[in-house]
Amino acid sequence: MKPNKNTENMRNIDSVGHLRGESIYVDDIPLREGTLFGAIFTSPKAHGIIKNIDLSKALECKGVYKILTHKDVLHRNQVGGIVEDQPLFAEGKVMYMGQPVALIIADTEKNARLAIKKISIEIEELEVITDPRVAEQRGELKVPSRTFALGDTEFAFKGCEHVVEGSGEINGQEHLYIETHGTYAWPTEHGDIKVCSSSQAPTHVQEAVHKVTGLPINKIEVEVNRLGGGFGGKEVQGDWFAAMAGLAVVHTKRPVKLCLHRHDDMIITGKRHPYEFDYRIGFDKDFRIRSYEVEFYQNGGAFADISPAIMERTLFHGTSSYSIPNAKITVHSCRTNLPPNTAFRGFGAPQAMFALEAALYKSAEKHRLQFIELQKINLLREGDIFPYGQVAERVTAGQCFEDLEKSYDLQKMRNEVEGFNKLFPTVKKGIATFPLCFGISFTTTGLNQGRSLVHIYADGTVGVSTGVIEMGQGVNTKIIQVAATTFSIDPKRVKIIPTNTTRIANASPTAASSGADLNGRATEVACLSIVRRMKEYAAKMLGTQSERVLIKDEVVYVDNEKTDLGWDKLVHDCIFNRVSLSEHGHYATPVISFDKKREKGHAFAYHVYGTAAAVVEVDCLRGTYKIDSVKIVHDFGTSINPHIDFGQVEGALVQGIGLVTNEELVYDAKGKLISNSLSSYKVPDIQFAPKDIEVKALETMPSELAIFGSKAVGEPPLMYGFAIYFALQEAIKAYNPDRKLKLKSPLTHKRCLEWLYDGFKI
Amino acid sequence: MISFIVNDREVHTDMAPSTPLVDFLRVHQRLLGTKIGCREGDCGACTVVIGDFYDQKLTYRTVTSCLMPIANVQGKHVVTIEGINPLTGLNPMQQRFQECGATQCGFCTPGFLMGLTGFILSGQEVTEYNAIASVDGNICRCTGYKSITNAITMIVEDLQKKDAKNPVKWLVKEHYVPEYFGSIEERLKKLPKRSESNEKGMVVGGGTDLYVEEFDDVITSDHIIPVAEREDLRGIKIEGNSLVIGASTRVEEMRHSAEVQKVFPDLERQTRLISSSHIRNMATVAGNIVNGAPIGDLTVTFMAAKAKLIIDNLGKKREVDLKDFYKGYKKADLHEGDIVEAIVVPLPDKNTRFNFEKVSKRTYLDIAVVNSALRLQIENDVIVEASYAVGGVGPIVLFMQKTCDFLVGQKVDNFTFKKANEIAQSEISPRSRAEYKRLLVKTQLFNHFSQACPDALTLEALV
Repeated sequence: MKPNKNTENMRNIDSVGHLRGESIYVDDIPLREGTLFGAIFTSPKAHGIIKNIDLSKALECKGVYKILTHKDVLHRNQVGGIVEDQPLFAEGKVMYMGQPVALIIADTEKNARLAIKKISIEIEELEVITDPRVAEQRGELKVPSRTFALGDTEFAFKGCEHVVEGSGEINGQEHLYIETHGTYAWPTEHGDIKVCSSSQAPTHVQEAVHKVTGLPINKIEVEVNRLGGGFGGKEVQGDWFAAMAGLAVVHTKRPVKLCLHRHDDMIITGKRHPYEFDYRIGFDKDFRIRSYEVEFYQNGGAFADISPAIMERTLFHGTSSYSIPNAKITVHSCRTNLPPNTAFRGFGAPQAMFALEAALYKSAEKHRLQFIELQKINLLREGDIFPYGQVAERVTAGQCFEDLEKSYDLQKMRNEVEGFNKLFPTVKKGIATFPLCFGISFTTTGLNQGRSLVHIYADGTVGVSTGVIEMGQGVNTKIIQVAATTFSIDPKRVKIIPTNTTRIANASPTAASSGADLNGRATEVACLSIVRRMKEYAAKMLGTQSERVLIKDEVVYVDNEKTDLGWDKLVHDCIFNRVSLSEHGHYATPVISFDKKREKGHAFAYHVYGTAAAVVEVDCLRGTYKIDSVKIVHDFGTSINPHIDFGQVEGALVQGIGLVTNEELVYDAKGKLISNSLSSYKVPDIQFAPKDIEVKALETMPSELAIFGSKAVGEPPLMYGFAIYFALQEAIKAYNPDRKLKLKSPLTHKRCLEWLYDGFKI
Repeated sequence: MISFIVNDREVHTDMAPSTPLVDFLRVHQRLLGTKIGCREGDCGACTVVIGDFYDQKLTYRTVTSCLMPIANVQGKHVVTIEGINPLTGLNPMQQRFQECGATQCGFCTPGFLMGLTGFILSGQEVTEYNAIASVDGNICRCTGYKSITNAITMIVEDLQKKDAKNPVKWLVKEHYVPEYFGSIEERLKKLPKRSESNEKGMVVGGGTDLYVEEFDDVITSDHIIPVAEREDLRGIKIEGNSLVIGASTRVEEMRHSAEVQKVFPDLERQTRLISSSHIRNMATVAGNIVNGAPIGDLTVTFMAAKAKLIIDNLGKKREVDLKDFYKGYKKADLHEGDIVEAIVVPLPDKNTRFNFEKVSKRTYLDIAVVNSALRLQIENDVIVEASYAVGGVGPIVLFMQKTCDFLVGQKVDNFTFKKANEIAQSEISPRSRAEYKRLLVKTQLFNHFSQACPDALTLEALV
C-alpha cells in the first residue's frame, strides 16, 4: 500500500501545540492538590561499602514528609532488566557516583532539594575501576563475552598481501534530551496508582513499579503523552524514577512528582557506551579485504542495564557496510564504576562501524592509498553473507555511493579541497565519505511486535492508540497517515490518543528505529479488519458482495462506481446495526529469527543504506574547525513522509557530528563525572551545525516489511557523522603529515591542536 | 512588593525577590510554555523577552528566565510564548517554523521563538546574521538546526518590509505580536515603583553566574541587592582619554555601543564569543569582572587594555588597576559595602594594536579553555609598551609582567615571538590539560603578533 497523496506532505501533527507552547510534557501536567515532591540523594563515592546513613537532620528539615531508602521498598529492591543486578536504592554497597541512595519527599521541590544536603553517609571506599580493559582483566564482565565469526580469519590472514593492525577508542555520549527524566504519579481508587512518565517504554515502567511495590500489574496504569527527546536515554532508565515515585505514592497515599534537575539527570543516568578496540585487517594485493578481526571492550558502567543487547548489535554490525569474507568480532561487556551506560541512537552499531573505518583509514595511510577509494572497492555486494549468517539482499551500498559521486560531483569536491590546501598554509580542508548499512529489527526477536487500538466514533472521527511513544520523531503523524490511508479518509478525522498501558498492554519499547514499522503495521491490521466489516455491511445494504465494494475518499464505490453512501452515514449505520467499529490490531514481523546458540540467523527484516561525504575546514593556528558541507544519498525505500524523514536524517547527522567532535564525557579517576552540566558538556549549537546539508533520497525497491515501503530512519543517519571525523583527520594530515596517527574519538578542539602540532616543541 | 506586566496582565507579588523568574512564570502563573532544560542559561528552553526603558525608550531583549531574579523585572514587561500566540492558529514566524519542520520534540521550540521575537522587537537590523545570533543561546537536540535555519531565512525575508521607525506598530499590524503590545509603554509608566526600603543581602548583578554557581544560596536568601537595576551605573561614555563603562551596563549593550565600536572596532566580533545573546543581555560588565573567574573573557580583555575599576563604598571612592584586583581564586580586592561603579579604559591611539583570542570546546556559548589579549604600542616598528593577560592557566587571570617587560624595545619578528613564548611559558602554571593549554598560549601569542603586524612572522616560528 502507498500513503494517500493528501497525507504525504503532512507536517508533524504536534507542531501547532509545540509552536504555541501548549504541548504537555510530564512537568506540565496540572498539579493535583496535596502533591508532594521528590529529590534524590545519590552516592558521593563510586565504589564502597555503606557503613551508615544518617537521615535524622534531613527529616527535621522544613517541609520534609518522608525519606525512602532500600528499607522502604515493599517488594523487591530491583530495577535490573536483562540481568537482575541493579537495586532501586543502594543497599549495602554503592557501585557508582550518582547511584540513588534515598528519595526525599517534601511539600515543595525546593524543600526536598535543600534537605538532600542534610543527609550524611559513611562509605568505606573500595577500588574504583573506570577502564574497561582493567575490568576485563579482573573478570568484571556483565555477561559472558560473545563472538560472531564467518569463514576462517586465521587461515585467511596467511594468504593476505597486506596486514594492518592497531587500536582505537570511541567515546560515550550524553543524550541531552532537553526534557530531563520525570514522573508524576498519584493514587486512584482500590489502592491503584496512575503513573505519568517520560519513558520510551511504558510497559517497562509498569513492570518496574510492580517489582518495587508488589502491586499487581493490572493495578498500575502508565501513561505517556510525549517526550521532550529520548534518543534511547529513556528506554529503560525512566523505570527507576517511576519506580521511586510509584513507591512514594504507595507510602504516602498522595500524588508525588519527581522531575530531575539537569545535573542530577546527568550524574544518575547512563550514557552511550564508550568502547576501546583492537583490530587486525588483511587485504589481497588489490586491497580487497580478505580477513578482519576485532575485539571490543565495552565500558558498561556499574550495572547490566541493556549493555548485553547493545553488545549484540555491535556484533551484528561488525562488518559495517563492507564485503568481508572472513571476519571474527568479539565483544566484552565490562563492568566499571561509572553510571550504567544504556541505549543511545545507534545502540552499539556506531562503535562497531567506527572501528572498521579506523582500520581502513590506518590501512590507507600506511599504504598511501586514498581512503575514499579503499572504502569504495570494498563495499558490500548483493549476496554477501553477514557474519551472523543472513544473506545481504537488495543491497544498495554501491548504488548510494555512485549516486553520491555523480549527484554532488565528488571528484570536483576532492579537487577543490586539494587546490585549497595548496593555497593556504594555516587553514586546511579535508574531505571524507562514509558508507552506511544498518539492520532494522530488534535483535531480540521477541520484541518485534506492535499493537494498535482503533475506534471509529459516531461522528466518523477516528481514535488510534498504539504502543509507540512520540518523542519528536513524528511517528504519530505517520500512524495517522496509515489510518487515514487505510480507511481512505481525511487525516483530519484521525486523532492519536496518548499511549497508555490500559489501552495497549505488553508493548515493546519505542526503540531500534522500529516504532513506525511495528505500530504502523498494527494500525493497518486493525483498520483493515474494520474496513472489512464496513464493506460487508455496505455490501448487504447495497445488495452486492463485499469484494465489489471499495471505500475511497470517504465514499462507498461498487464496481468502481460511486454510490450515495458516504463515510458519515456508513459509520452511523454500522453502529446502529451492531457492527463493531473498534479493533485491536496485532503485528509481529515475519521472517526474522535468530539462534543464539549458533549466533546465526535472519536477524533483520531489512537493511538501510546510504553514503555521506563531508568537507571540513581546520584553523591550524587555533585547533578549531568548521564543517563546510555534508552531502548525503540515503535509501529511504519510498518515504511515507519525506518532510519528517529528512528531518530525522538532519537531526541524527548533527547528533553524530556532536559525538565525534565536541561531545566529550570526562570522568576523573575516582569515577566522578566532570562534564556534569550544560556548561561543561557541549552539544552542537546553531553556529556549529553545518549550514550546507544536502540529502538526496535514493529511489529503491521498497522492502515489504517496512511500513508502506518506507524504511526506518531514526538511528541509521547518526553514523554519517563519521564522515566528518575522517574529514578532520584528513585536514590535520594536510598540515602535519608526520604526526603519529591516533584513531580516537571525539576529535575535540584539544585533540585537533595537539595532533596538528604532534612532534613539535612547545 | 514587585510589580511588572506578564504578557497582557499586570502582576504584583510579595515573593522573595531572589525567586527565579522561570519558577514564578511556571508555578505561579501556570505559563507552561516556558520550559526548564538546565537552569544554568545554557539551553535557552526558558527564554523570555523583557521590555524596559533604556535611554527613555521601551526596548526589548531576550533573557533566560532561569537566571533572572524577579527583582530584576520590576517595572518591566515580561513576554512568554503565551504572550505572542494569536487567539487561534499560528503567527507568521510560527507558520514558517511549521512549514520548515523546525520543531520535532517541541521542548526547545518556545525558546527559539522567544529568541526571534526578542530580535524582531529589538530594532536591530534585520539580517540573517543578526537573526541567527538571536538564537545562539538556544539548543535543539532533535532537528540538527537545518530546518530552523531555513525557517529563519524565510522570516528574515518576510521582515524586510518591517517599518524600522515604528516596529511594534508594524509587528502588531502583521500579527507577529498581539494588539496589546501597542499599549504596553503607557501601562509600564503607570506601574508602582518597588517599595524596598533597606536593601540588604547578597549583591546580585545580572545573576548569570550566581544563579548557576550558588543557586541554593541565592534562592534561600530572601533579600538581594539588585545592582543591575541601578540605572545610574548603566551606560557608556568617553571622558577625556578614557572610555568609561558603567558597572551595570549589560555586556550586549557594550557590544553594540557606538562609543565602544569607535574605539574598539573588533570588540563586537570578539564579544560574540562570550556566552549567548540572552546571557549577554542580562550579564553586567562588572559582574564578569568581580566574579573573578580565572577565565573571565572581559577580565582578560580589559586587563590587557589597562583598565581601572572605580569602587564606591558609601560615598568613599577608590581606584584599582584591574591587574592588581585579584587576590586568589575567585577572590577579588573587595570589602563589605564595596560596589564597583565603573570600568575605565584608556583610549587606544594610532599606534595601539589590540587583539583578543579565545579557544573553547565549542566555539560559541562556551567557557574558554585559554583566552588571552595583548595590547601593544608600536612606534617605528618597535614595541614601546606591552600589556598581556592570559586566562585559564592559573587560579586568576594572569597579567604577564615578565613577558611584557621583555617585549618593550623589541621588534615584532620570529625571534621576538620565540623568546616571548619562552618567557610566557615560564609565567603560567596550568594544572589540568597542561600541554594543551601551553600550546594554546603559544598559538594565541602567535595570532596576537600576526594581528598586530601581518606578515611579520612566518610559520617557522611555530616549529
